Amino acid sequence: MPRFLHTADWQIGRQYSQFPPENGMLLAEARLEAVATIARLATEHAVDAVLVAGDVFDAQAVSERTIRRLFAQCAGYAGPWLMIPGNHDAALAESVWTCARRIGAVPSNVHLALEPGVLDFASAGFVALAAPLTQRHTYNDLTEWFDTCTTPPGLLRIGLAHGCVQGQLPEDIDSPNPIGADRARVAGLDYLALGDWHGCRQMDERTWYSGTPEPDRFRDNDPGHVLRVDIDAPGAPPVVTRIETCRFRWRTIEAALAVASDVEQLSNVLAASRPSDVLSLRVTGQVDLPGLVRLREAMGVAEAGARHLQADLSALRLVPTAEDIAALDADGYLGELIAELRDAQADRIDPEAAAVAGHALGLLTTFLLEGRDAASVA
Amino acid sequence: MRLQRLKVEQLRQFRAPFEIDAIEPGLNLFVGENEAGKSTLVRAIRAAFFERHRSSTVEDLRPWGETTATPTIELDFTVGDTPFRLRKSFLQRKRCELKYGAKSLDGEDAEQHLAELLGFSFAGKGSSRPEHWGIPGLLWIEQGQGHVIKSSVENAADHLRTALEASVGEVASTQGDALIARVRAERELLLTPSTDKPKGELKRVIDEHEELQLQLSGIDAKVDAYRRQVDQLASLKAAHAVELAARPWEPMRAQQQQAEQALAASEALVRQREAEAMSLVQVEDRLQLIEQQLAGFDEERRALAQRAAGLADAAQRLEVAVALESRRAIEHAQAEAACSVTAAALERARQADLRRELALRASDAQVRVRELDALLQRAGAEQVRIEQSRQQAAASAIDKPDVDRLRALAGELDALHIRQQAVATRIRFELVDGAPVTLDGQSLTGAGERLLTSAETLYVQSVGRFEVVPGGDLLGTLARDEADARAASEILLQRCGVANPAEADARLAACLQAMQDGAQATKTLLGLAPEGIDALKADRVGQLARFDDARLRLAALVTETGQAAVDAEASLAEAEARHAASKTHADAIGAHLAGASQGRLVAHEQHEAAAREHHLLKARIEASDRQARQADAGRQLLAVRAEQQVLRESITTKTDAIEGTQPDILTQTVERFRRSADLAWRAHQERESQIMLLNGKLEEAGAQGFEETRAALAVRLEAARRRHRELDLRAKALHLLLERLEASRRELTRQLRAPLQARIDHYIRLLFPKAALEIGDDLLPGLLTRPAAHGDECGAVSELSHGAREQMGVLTRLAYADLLQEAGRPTLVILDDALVHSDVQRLDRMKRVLFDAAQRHQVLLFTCHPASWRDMGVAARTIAREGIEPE
Repeated sequence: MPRFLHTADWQIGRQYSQFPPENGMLLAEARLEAVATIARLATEHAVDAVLVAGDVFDAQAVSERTIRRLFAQCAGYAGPWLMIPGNHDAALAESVWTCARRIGAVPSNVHLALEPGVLDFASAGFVALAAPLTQRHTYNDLTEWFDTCTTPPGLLRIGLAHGCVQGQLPEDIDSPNPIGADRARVAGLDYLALGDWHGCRQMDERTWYSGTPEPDRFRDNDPGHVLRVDIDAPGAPPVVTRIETCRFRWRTIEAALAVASDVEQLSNVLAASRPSDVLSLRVTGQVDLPGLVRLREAMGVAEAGARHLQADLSALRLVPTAEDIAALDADGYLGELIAELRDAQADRIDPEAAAVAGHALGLLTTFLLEGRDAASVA
Repeated sequence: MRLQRLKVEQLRQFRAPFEIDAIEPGLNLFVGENEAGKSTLVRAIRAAFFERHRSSTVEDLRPWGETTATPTIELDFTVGDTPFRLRKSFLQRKRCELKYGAKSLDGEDAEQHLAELLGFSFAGKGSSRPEHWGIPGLLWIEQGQGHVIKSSVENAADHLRTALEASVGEVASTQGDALIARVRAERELLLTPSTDKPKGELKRVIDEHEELQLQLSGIDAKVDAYRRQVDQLASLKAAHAVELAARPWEPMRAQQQQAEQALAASEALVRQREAEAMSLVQVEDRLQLIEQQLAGFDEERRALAQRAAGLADAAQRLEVAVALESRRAIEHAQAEAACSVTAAALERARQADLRRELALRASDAQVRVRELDALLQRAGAEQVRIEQSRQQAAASAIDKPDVDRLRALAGELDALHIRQQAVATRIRFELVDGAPVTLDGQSLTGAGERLLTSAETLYVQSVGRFEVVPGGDLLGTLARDEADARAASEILLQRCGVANPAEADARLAACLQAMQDGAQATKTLLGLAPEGIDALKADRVGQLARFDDARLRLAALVTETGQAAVDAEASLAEAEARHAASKTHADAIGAHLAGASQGRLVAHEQHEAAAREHHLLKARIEASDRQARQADAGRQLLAVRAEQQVLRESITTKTDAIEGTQPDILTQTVERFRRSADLAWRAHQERESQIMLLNGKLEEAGAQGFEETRAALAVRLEAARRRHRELDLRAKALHLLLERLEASRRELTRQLRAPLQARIDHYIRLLFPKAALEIGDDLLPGLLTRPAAHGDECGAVSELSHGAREQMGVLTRLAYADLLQEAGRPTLVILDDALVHSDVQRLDRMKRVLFDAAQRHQVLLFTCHPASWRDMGVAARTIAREGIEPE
């Protein structure tokens, strides 16, 4: 009864430009650790092979060190690793794969399918039909030949491909590297292991995207898993189990503030953040001065608690109340200026000027608050 | 505010305590001479308020030379109804005490309280400077600074605004100034104050962003190039594989070989043709040889006939030559004989001719000798004559002048004698004979007459003596002259060696004759022997020698020829002509003979040669194998001609065949296929090496991992971009804030203008009735408008004279003081030697102004011109170091 781990889209060498370098490094490092985790899981679950459905590397020209480190992570599983190139690491005339082979980094148990073909694992009871990308983009279905490819009877037919299943994914319009929607059925595959879609997703009874084992974007499509695939015999339906592998959870928090309790609610959400969280916070609506102070405090807490918090308050308007202004000792023309800026930040005709006004208002209140605090301390 | 008492101690020249008490609420006039201490008191008031008591930069307060002094100032004043006492000491013992009402403050608290009360600030460090002085800086006019109004108002601006806001009924912001300062400071961290250019962190992040952008595009270019090369490699590999399968160079090689074979066949034909052409040349050579041989036979036969004719001809010519030679020999012998005869005749003629000439020469010489003899004789006679004449001339030699003189003297003597005779005493006598009469010893006889020229004794014997004395002096003179002349004559006669003048004349004539004779003889001699007698003699000897020679040779000739001399009839010239003719003839004949001999020799030689050649040719022609050879040559001629024909035909055939194969085109075809195959092969090779090269390049590039580098760079760029956005927004926000805040403050300031203008109007009319001084938005006096003779006169205060500006300055300050007082602020006006540049009239008006102001404010006026201020209605206090005395 053959058993597999299905994974894809490791994207080794990926870097995160939206984060400060120190956090970005850590997140990149987590991708390598995910591979080690997969190796450990493969050993634990005693699988017959690990199927890696493309985009092992994020780019072709990555450093030798990165290549060696990747393959070193595979050491935790001594069984066969089946890898196909994806669009990021296509098997071009010169590619990350030729480089890896040249420098002798590829262990003997890693089977690279750099050309379309059948990999024979008869002893383990299966053959693999690999459809690697040999160009960065192709507009032909590389899995078509699966239909006509005959394999010895009694062996499972496992397909391995990287691309976009036609007509089912949200972003497949005109996307390159198409894959026929019912390839598994037409080609008589027992299982079709796919890569490219970073979320974990079942396409039909025998067709799955495993998604990336370590998330790399704020997109709530259920990444961070590998799939354990158990198939009793040729023709039997596969039993697919999700196993979580991610170290960091990428979460988007969106809040529209209107009343004081909204701030309180958001503060609670932020307070619950954990070290494995990579948070993207976007706040809209309006807030008064105490609310803003509270929000900032809560963000400070979350920043300390989570791995990373990136906040976008550009659509949040500070609307000081009359009490706020009085509390700031903003008498005379200062009071007038605050009112002026408060109105200006709502300017929809010139968003740029509105942003400047909003920021100016923030600065002004900050300076006044500091002045007040300094005065009260004195 | 009202100052009541001022006390200073250990302060500059006031070493001892010095106090001014009972200071009036209105105008106070303090007078004193220069250096009396007026300015020190002003400085003391300033120091008491402005300087921190802890300040170490107030050394100027220290009395000169006192290192341990504690300059102390004590002030009593009231603000409103509250009494204040301020005591401040510096340097040695630093203290500040302020008591007001029941409260009391120490140190910096006291100072801070004062600053807020009066509206000034303290220096952060160092001594207090004008920008800290605030409102007092405006109202307390320093010596010579009355005209400086702009900076004073600006320095007080913040305090003025705070102080005056109540009066304008507008709520200023209590935090405004601090906030503006903060915003400005924050803004200046990011933007330059004047030009709004990015600076500091903003500039850095912009630069970084640009730099990273640049790096990124650099690496992007590399990535691009890398990708292109990968694609190139793929296409090269594909093409390579296709070619390896097709091997396009191989069919081309096959076609090349085919063409090469055809070409080789064609070239073999060409070679054969060339061999035949060479054979043809040989055959034609042979044919030519045979033909030449046959022609040679015919030629020889023709030559033999020619030679035979030539031989006969030569024999005949030899015969003729021999005959001619013998004839010429005979003629020559005859001519020689004739020539001998004429030669002998010529010899004889020459002998006779010589003899004749010799005889002639001898007789000639003889005649000449005789002539010379005669000549010599005559010459000798002439010679004798010359000698005689010379001797005679020498003998009768006399000097002609002497003779002339003698002749003259004789004449003179005759003349004297006649005159003596005339005057002499004449004695005539006729005596009887024998009468013994003597005269002067001489006996007189007969009858006679004597002339006596001198006293003479006439003696008559027996009779006695008579002394006859000629009478008169003339006689004496004459006698003397005569004696002189006679003496001279005598001397000359002696010199000439003659007895009397006649003789002298004769001698002179004889001498002249002799000289004439000599000259003539000499002339004759010269005619006879122009070259002298010796030459004649020599000529004679020569002639004698010629004669002898001729005679001798003649004698010899006669003896030699002897007989032959007789038949010398023929003349020498004739003989010579005859001989020459015979000789010429003989020579001509000789030449003919020689020519004939030569001709005979040549004819002989030619005959010999002709005979030899004829013989040789004849022998050859008559040789035995000649017939056979000639026949053989004829046969060969036929055979070789046949061979030539065959070869010609063969060559024509082959030429046609070769032209049919087109060897040029074949060569081109071979070259074309060879080149094409080479090119295809080389292209294949090149592609292979290109693939290897590209592989190498890509391996190298891939090893650098620059897509990873690019990603890292993109991370940094994104961070920089974010940071830039943030900072830019912050800068813009700060800019906006500052702009708005400053605008608000300006607006506030503007609102203060009206009340100030009202106070200015009040004062300016005291100075210039109907004038107007306009206050600008900056709260400073701007335009002054005054009525003048020809309409209003308008000008900026800053352009007025120093004195007028000072007056405007004082006016403005007083207006401010009024405003401050209305706002309930303490005011104290101090003028230190102010208005010294004002003329009397203007000063009078300013006094009205000051007096008016003093109704509302306490005014302290310090001056060193007490007389100018006597009419202010207050008593002046004199300041002297010793103390203060009311005037």
